[in-house]
Amino acid sequence: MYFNEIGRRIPGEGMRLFGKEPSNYYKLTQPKLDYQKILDRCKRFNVSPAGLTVVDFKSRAEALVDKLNANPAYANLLKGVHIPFVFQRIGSEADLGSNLENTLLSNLQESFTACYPEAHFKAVLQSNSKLPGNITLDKDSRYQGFIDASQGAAVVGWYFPQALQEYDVRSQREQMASLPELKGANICLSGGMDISAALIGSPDLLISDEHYTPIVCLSAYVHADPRLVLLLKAYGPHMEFWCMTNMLTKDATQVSEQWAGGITVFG
Amino acid sequence: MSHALQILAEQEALSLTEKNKRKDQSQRRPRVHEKIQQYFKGMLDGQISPILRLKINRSLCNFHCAHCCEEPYMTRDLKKRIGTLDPRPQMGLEEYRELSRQADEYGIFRFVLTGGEALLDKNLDKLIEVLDPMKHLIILDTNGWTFDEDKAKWFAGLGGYKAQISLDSMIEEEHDSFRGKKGSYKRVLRALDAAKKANLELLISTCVVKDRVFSDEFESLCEYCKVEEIPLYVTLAKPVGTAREQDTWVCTKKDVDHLKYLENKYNIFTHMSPSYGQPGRCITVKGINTVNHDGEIVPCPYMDLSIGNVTKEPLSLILDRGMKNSWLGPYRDECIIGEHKDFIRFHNSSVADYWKVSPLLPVPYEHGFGRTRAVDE
Repeated sequence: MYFNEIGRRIPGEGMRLFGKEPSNYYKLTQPKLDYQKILDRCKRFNVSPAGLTVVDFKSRAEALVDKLNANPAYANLLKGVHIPFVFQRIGSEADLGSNLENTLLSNLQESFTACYPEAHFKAVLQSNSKLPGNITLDKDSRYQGFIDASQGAAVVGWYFPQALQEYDVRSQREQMASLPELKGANICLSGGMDISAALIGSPDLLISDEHYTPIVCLSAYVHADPRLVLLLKAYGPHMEFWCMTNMLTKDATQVSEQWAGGITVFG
Repeated sequence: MSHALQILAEQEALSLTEKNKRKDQSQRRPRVHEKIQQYFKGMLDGQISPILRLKINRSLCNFHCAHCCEEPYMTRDLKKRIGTLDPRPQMGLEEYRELSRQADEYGIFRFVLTGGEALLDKNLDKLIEVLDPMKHLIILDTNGWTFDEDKAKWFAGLGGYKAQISLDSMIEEEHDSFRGKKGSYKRVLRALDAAKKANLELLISTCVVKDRVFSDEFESLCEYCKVEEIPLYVTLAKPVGTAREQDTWVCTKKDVDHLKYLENKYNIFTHMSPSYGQPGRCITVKGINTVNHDGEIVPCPYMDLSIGNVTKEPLSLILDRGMKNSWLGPYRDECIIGEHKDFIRFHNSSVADYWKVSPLLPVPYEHGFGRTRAVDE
């Protein structure tokens, strides 16, 4: 068993987490899934091919759920919040940082502000850091498989935003090495494309009147400056992207109850 | 409709006004400017540069505000409760000089002088001198009662940088009643005018209780600040001090979210607003620390629990200890003393337990935060 009763990854040897027992202070609410709305947004904001039908989207997403349910190692993952999405890479922007800055975040902003016209979406790069030319993939993330699958074809997937909540970023990455393959589907550490697509389809995921929500880490993406990490967060009614320091102090990295790495399952 | 994505790097995130202020600092206070630049460079390495808020003169005050978190520190309250004075020594000028030196070495560049009412301290001029206004921005918290034109010029002449003047309602009677001082509202308006004439940086500080942010009165205060071009600093009423039993005053996430929405409309901010290239978050230790009159360092203006005493240990050691405490160091969005019910419970029960042993606040480290978990423990 790799996931607990709330869909969090059970920490293995050497993993660094905020707390021994998972906290539920920063939480997300499992939304009622409206495949039509999600698909419409993914199409409108340029992450889904126009030809994909809702029937196809839904049946492919549900087939992934069946595969997870049938696998005892992964079934508990579904006890956590999970969001379906569709993503297809359009264009030839090979550089991950440029793609994130110029395409994905812009699309996400469009989707978010269409849903919340009075709120802002902004991106802040701490200490004048840059994204273009500075982003690579973590070696354990299995994210290259996601990129390859989405090049020229629509990937349907599920984003599990709280699967690695309270893990420090190093542990979010390292735990991937011990996750078994998922028969009939693919799994990766969540990164820029899948999270953007999931939030484009469900722009209200991180917004709550009632409680504080987790800050989601794009941990499959590694910045050239090892001190920096990439995050998406709510700021009250607003949404923000931050490229910011991972250093808690000069000799220790951040480990936060609120920061959450994600896992993405796709087919 | 298409909107260009705002990609805000440090430089671009600064308003023109802020850029001009920084340029001004580079000429008037080169050491302050140098420390600000160093902070931006060191931020990625985990460097912090918190405000140090000095509670001077045993928190002596001429007001009796309904929401005061300082009352339990005041001699008048101690006399009432236990019939004696606070036996702990007030930090002397040489100790403040040493604190200023350590703060400068650490990269800190802001001191707030507060009380009680800081202007009641007859040695304020000497204190400002030992803190060194060329090395640190000296900011004054005041209720405005005695802050007339002469006093504002006096403070500016000593090298003072900014005045933070409290205004708790745009309705005169409401402000005076909340502050427990008739005539206070009019004096605040006079103080604002005086600060402007003395060319001081200026802000209005206001305390919000639950639902006030949705009121017409609050909106009119925001409008006033917009018209007068005075930044409005909003603090959340905390269930501590005089307000310890006032649970109904505690703001909810809805209140706090509305403030975040208003930040885009008006020049208002809270201690959790994004600033100096940092996202909006709880600023315990990393953003602001209070230094009690006896040197105890409290990692937030509204808490009563210490993380160490700067007259007994180096400042750097105390701040590092604070950053490694699981409540205080790690990233979190919410104001823990204003919103997090588990923390408020822990805080207030630590105070209640300590009061069985001693009437003096803050609760020393070993009786409060020392009993909580450090990161990686």
